[in-house]
Amino acid sequence: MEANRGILIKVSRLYLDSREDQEDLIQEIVLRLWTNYQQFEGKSSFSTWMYRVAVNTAITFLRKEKRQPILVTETENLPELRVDDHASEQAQQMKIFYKAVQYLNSIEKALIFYFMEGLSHREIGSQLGITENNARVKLSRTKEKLQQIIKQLGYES
Amino acid sequence: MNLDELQKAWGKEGSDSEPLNLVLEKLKKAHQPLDRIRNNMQKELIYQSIAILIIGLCPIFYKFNQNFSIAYYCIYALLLVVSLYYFLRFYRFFKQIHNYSGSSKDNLYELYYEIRLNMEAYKSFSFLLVPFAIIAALLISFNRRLLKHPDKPLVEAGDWIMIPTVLVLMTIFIIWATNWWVEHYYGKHAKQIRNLLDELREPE
Repeated sequence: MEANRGILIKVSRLYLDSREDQEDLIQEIVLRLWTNYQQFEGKSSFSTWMYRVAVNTAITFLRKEKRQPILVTETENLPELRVDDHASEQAQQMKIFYKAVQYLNSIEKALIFYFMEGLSHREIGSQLGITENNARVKLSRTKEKLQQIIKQLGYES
Repeated sequence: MNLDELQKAWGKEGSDSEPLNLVLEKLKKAHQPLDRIRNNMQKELIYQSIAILIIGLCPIFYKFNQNFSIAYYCIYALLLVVSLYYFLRFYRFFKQIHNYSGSSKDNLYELYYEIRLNMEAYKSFSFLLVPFAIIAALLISFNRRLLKHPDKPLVEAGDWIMIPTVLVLMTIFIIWATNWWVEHYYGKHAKQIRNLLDELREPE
């Protein structure tokens, strides 16, 4: 588990913006990993199985205070993002990336997560239960949407 | 921003974080639609069980005569048997471990199916109370009359319109209230999952 903790942290940061919610999601994913471990048949690698459990848990995760998973489709009038001038270029980009991803819906976040993890269209399709072509089309649209959000947040590079 | 280039930075994400701090108390909180539905249903079923037990004391509260008491407890026994069936059914639902390791689409379909199925079972359990409530209400009102005017006939002329009207209105209200309650408190989760499934559809 500790060896793959990066997956938990990345999924939680991608799906939720508050630290408290992210911690809750990590706890929730760990619980699902424990209770579902018997389902792991060793046909795929442990990390592939962990991706599925983590993403499936995150997709339907409900926050505290009856806040529901973000299902934002309107991306107009987004607040401009302030970026720390002293942070490294990569760190700044990651910050903007995480901020922008919060405006995507749960399925789009899953697509971006698998893309960032370097999965092929076929593998993304298999993880999500859709065809390779569907994965390609949806990923392409999501990347376009993400770029638009990044521009609207005031970052163009 | 070039997302392909950002993948390198993404790979390092999480490596700088502290070791995972897992708190068992936190794990018990319900953050999944299925768990939230289970928790709410569990609470409601406890109240319903208490209500069913209290209903069993009606003949004592309303001082039913022997004939009315026999009729009441025959119907009550049927209510207990059917309630027991539903309680066992819901107990299995509460104890069931959902499999999160399938593909996201399969996982969402299973969740959707589980939620809708148990919503319908919950509704049918509530509808079950309708005939029982009707018979209990009739027995209570007739028993009152019998205690007040033991010499008068039990059924009066106006009852042929009054009783069916009240019963129909009562039935309609219980069905409407149950549907509203279940859809309002549980249907929203099913709707959210349905929306996610729509997101996974093939492009046209």
